[in-house]
Amino acid sequence: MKPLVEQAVNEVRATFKGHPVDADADSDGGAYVKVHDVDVGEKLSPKQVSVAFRITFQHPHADVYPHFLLGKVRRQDGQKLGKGFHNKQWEGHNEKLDATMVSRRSNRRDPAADTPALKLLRVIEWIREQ
Amino acid sequence: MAVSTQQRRPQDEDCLSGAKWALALNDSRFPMPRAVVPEELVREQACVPDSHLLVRDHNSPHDPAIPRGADIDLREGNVFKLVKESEAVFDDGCQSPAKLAWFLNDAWEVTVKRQQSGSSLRRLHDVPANFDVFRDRESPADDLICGDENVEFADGPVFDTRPVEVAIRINKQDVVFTIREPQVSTIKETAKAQGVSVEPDFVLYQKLEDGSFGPAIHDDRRVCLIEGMSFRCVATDDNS
Repeated sequence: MKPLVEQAVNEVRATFKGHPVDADADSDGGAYVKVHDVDVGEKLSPKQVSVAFRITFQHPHADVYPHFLLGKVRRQDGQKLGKGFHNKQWEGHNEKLDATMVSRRSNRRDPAADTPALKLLRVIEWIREQ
Repeated sequence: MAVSTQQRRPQDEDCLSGAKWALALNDSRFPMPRAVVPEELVREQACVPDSHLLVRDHNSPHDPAIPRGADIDLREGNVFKLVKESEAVFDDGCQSPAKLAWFLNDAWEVTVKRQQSGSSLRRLHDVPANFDVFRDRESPADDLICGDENVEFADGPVFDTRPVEVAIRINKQDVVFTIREPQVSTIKETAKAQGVSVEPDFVLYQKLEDGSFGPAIHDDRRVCLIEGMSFRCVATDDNS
């Protein structure tokens, strides 16, 4: 894992203190990251999920995109999850898991300011607002 | 001139000792050395005629006189008047709250409410937004009072103001503010005006000392800026 990637993982751990965080190195110097027990709000079931994403070796110059909610996630009201959500497997470190992909791209991203921890905070807040 | 070296939040350390005290007597202000003072000391400092007694002013027509030689606890009320000793009433059954004088830059306003917020204290004295309010202490390290703070009368009623100049970091660049508690939208405007690459729809996060980020701080919020605080302000995302 490249030092800058490791630093980004540490920032995720600090920001999500109290949540178990798994980080496995990929073969390129990046990392597969899973943050567990994330509260995604009252509108979804389950309310708490694990969120997985990959920090690639290009960090900080590459966006962290997309994110995956592991397991089966539904809306409590029975409606479709809507735009931005797609059923797609998470392919992590020696694993493939059923997941819901959350496609939130940072088209105006500033690599000097944005970080994987900030992106995860924004993605979670967006999910709660849906 | 930056005030950073002399500003701190009250919760930083024990700050209750050493607060400055004062009382109002017949519409004059008298500084006092501590919260509990002998009646004799007040008489001396305020030049009270020997024929008169001090009376603590309550929100009532029946104000009890202070007996000669008593200790006066200013935390119970610091507004006094004088009565001729021959007319003094020592009835301590007064149930009305004592009046409380909150001093700011040698002026004062009287309330009966013991607890204010930083914002209500500012409103009480009509403090402009580009001035900070500090609780005055018997040392150079005064307590900065932010708007959301609880301000207890018993912790000290003497305050002063100073022009705001506070430097923080946004996206790793220094940004200087002349308002202590700007709205988030103003923080972004100020940062942009000082060369930080941010836009009005960006999202603000505080970077904390442990390396973590706090939650998003939305545009309708105000932030009490403390010297050296660090923030990130980043673009929102789009569906793809």
